[in-house]
Amino acid sequence: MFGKLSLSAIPFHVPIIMWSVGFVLVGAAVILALITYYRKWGYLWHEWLTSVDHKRIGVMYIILALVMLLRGFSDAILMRSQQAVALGADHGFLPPAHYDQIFSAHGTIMIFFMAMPFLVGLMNVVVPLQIGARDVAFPFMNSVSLWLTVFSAGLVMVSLGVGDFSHAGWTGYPPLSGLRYSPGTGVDYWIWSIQLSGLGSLMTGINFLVTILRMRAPGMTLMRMPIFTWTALCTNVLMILAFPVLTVTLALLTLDRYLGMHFFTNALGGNFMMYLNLFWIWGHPEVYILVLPAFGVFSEVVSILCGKRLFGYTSMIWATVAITVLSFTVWLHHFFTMGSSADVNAFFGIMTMIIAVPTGVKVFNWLFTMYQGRVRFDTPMLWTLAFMVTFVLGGMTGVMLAIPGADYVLHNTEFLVAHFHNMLIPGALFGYFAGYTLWFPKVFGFALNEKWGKRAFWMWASGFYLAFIPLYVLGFLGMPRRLEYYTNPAWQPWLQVAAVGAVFILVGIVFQIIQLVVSIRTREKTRDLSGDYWRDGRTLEWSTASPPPLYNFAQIPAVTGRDAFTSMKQNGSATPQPTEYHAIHMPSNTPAGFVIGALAFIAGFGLIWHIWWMAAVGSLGILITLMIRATQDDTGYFIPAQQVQATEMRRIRQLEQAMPAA
Amino acid sequence: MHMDNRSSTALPMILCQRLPGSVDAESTGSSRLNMKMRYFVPGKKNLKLLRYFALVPILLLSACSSSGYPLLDPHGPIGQSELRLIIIAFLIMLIPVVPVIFMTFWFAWRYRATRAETTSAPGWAEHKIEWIVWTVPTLIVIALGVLTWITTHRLDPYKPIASPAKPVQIEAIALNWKWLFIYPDEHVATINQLEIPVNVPVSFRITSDTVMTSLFIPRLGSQIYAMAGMQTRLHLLASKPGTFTGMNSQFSGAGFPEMHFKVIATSAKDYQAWLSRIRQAGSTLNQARFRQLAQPSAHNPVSYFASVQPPDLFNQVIRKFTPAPMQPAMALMKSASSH
Repeated sequence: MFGKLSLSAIPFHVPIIMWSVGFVLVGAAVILALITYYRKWGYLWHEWLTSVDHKRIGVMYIILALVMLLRGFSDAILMRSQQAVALGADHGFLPPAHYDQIFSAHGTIMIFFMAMPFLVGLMNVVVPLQIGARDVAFPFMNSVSLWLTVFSAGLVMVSLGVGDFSHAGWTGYPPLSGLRYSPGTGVDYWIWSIQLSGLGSLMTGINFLVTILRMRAPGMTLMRMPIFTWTALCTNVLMILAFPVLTVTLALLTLDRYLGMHFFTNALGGNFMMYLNLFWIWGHPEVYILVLPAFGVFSEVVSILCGKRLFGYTSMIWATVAITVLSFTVWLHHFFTMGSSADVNAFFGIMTMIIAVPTGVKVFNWLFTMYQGRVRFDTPMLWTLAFMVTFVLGGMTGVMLAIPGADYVLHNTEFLVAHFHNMLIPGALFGYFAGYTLWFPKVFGFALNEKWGKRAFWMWASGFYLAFIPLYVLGFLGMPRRLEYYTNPAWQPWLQVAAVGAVFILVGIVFQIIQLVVSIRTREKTRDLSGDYWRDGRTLEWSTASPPPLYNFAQIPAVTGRDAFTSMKQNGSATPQPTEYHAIHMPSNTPAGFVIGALAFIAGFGLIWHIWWMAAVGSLGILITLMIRATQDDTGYFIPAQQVQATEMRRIRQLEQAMPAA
Repeated sequence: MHMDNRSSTALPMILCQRLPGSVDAESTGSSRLNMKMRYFVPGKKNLKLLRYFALVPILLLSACSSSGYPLLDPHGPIGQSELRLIIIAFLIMLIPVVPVIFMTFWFAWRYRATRAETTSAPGWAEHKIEWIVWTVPTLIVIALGVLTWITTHRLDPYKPIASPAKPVQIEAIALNWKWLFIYPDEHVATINQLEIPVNVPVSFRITSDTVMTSLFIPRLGSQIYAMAGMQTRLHLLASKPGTFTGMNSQFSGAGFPEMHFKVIATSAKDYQAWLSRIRQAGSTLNQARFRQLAQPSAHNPVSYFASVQPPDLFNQVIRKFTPAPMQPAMALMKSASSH
């Protein structure tokens, strides 16, 4: 009846896990109780959970990312404290079974459930506004993507208390992740959670590619598109090309594990070298999926907060496109030590370095945007500056790893760990934080508190250096990654410094939470009446109200050049006052996306625990929901012209109010 | 005495010629770039600052030369070449990296919005700078690309090390979670210990009886994966006597932290003495004993085997993953592993 599931799957005997589960459950209970107390269930359901509005979906994605950041960081600080103490006979406080799950979960969560939702959230909020559209091309599919991602993150969270998570690392290399060496359900949790969220990412990619290609405002040619939209476009292309590879690879691994096949086992002609190739054919473009939108954010931040047009717009776009194409030609550098010939290794090493050219171009373009500008040290700019300085260091160590001769000794050491954190924390996460701060006033109509934002920034930036520079040193000390305990006393002081760095980052995260609370409490002080909170907004999203009306633009703006809003401000057409208003057609909210997500969760849970009836119920349910949805003829409604007019009049009054201040 | 080894002689030459030159290139490179900027001509004070900046890598290197760092104090020519490669690549990359970091701070400060004087932004040569912006990284990548192509071939782990001495053959088998080393020419075997003579090339054939692992002796240089059903090759050489750590660097399950071993590089005489000690004291490694060893276990003590039965145990371990009916697939795997 319940497959492999029994009460013994709950680790009652492991206090750390039980405390974490308890903490999560209490937290969830408090939130649910508050919602009930304030009678917000209806509001939540009608306005948010069933919403197909890209702005709300974006916000929910970012909330998921921030929650999962807390979870992923908890894993990180556990690892750092374990390694800081686990010398010699003292094996630390984490047994191998737990430690191995923690580093597997940390990687999986940070990539799939923190970084991906964060960037998809930013794309959701910003892209339609930047291109002058009223929503994305497929609003319902957008909701499905969101709920697939949320519920697959839920599967990871459930693995905390029911059974365990994968012990095989976030890359899940077979044969270790095969049935023979990982007979438990951990790898299955890993497979199904990223399989479902990967499906969501693929749909997001399709959705935004079509949105950007088909729904731009009249006059916005490709070479007039805002730079963030350009990076989003390239990321979507990568998502569409790369994610199916992951889906198929995981499906083959699933066949190995569920039906006893031998694609990636050592036996009967299977070969796991194929898995490494396939995994990284997705995995390396994935790095650029994460990083490119952050590059877009940095470009927007630099030009807004230096009050200058972006330097080398065309260069920037070609650099982005070059990275997009080249990202598919470097996957083998993840396993130079697998015994490929010198020709093959040298080829992939050189291809990897070539990516440094367009990336270098980008860095120079940001620098020259600052040159002769007026640099304002608001929080988004601080994140950007820290990124520029730190990222070039990561690029340098990346080129070192790209030289096979150097990689032969640096591979699999803490040097590698330091390198990819050095790319992804400044390169992706700092960018997301910059974007979060930059567009927060646009989405909510009030800004984030600068004082706490800066404090958080300094803790994060110094914490980063404290946590990861020691790992570079540890690489030269010959310390392999993923070590639960060790006997070399020379490693310990560096690991202790790294642990202090993790504490700094923890304080940074606490400051970010304080920042959010303080910002909400003092929101009247930072109200954004103008819609152009940073005063130097250059693209269309700054031309609407903050928060934008449901329909974004009462009239779709006509674009005549790059930096559309800047030219509107210059020629005085920034606040159009149309004489007549038209009814606007908008998609209706639907619970179908949420229901599909929930059913996918049920199906996934059934598959993980071999509860076949449950898997069948979930899958059939999804099919039925889709059929019902497909038979609905009318999935939209009109916002009447009077209502549009009333909203716009309010906006005009608001602008008049803002004028004397500005 | 072993110095006719190709991979060890060519690179020191590069380094000897390049090391001082690259430091120079770094500081002149940055000041040349700075000249391009009108506001950025380094005065005397700035030049001094720049010189200090150039000192940083040197300081770093000297701080790192401490012998506690296996990667920075290699005991063999492969490791030494790899260290030199890392240093050369590092110095070449300082050419763009130092100016970029410097310019980030400089521009941010120089053009801060709170500054009293305002800068006019005249129509300066954007196209010219864009040209530089693409050329500089391209040139550096070309230099690094050439370096990569040459060194990758020189440092190919499959390439035998040229030496008058006859190489010591080692067959390494990764087990959960210990290393079995068979000395086929000597017919002895060890668990979790590798004894090698100094200045004699060590020629590894490597496989795994379990998941993928990686054989890595940081003091000696390159690592290579051990994969079941396949054979990989690795060639190393110790040029100094010493005792150091070897390990599996690829996570392989619960006993992974225990999967390291002692490497003892000794004189030829001591090596022979060690062999004869094993031959007298050790037991026999037969099929039954191997099956026992293949069972997952950690904390395995060092143990010695005076003889190995059957002598081609290594090949048998590889073959057992490729049963007879799957011959075509086996051929495929073999070609993949021996490229």
